[in-house]
Amino acid sequence: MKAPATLLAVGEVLAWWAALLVLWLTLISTVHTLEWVVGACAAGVGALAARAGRRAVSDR
Amino acid sequence: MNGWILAAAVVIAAGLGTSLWGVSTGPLKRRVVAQNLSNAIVCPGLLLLAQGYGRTSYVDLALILALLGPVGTLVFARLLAGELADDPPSARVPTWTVAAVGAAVVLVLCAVTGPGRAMVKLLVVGALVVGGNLIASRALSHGFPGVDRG
Repeated sequence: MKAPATLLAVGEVLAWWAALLVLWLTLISTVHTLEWVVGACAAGVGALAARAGRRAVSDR
Repeated sequence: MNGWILAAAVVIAAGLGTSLWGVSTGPLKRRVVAQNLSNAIVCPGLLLLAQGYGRTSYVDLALILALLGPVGTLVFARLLAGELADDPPSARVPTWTVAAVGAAVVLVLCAVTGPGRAMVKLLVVGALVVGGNLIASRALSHGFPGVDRG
């Protein structure tokens, strides 16, 4: 994987991560530190899965 | 019993009653449409119940149903694609009626809730209910063009 491709992949995962974290913080009832940590971790896993899913349907 | 719970009772009784009748009688194409619409009409009912009981955490029930309902319909649409291809279901009026009920309920609840994270959550649920319903109905009527390529 070349440098621009790596950068693009990291950017995509980061974008998914940010969007999913915002969704997490929207859907929970009260926001405190633990929720931030759990949400960030869950959004990280979700971001990797989202990229894998996106590639599965578009990169044939 | 307050107005919200009464509204929820009306929506669930009329909507779920009609869809259960549709699911249990008639030809296959009517049953799948009714099954799809039952998800989309129960979600606004659950939102109204959450408001009626004053427990915003109950909104999560509607959120989960709004996510899983259309997925279930897509599974049905895929499994029954052969049977539905010859005589595809077309239920434009019921679909848009249910979508309008969902949108109206969400907008009223947003107006009552006021700006904030709770309102954004309601809008997310509303978008999932209405969007999921329309996408699932489209999949039932038109099948999955392009999926069977390989």
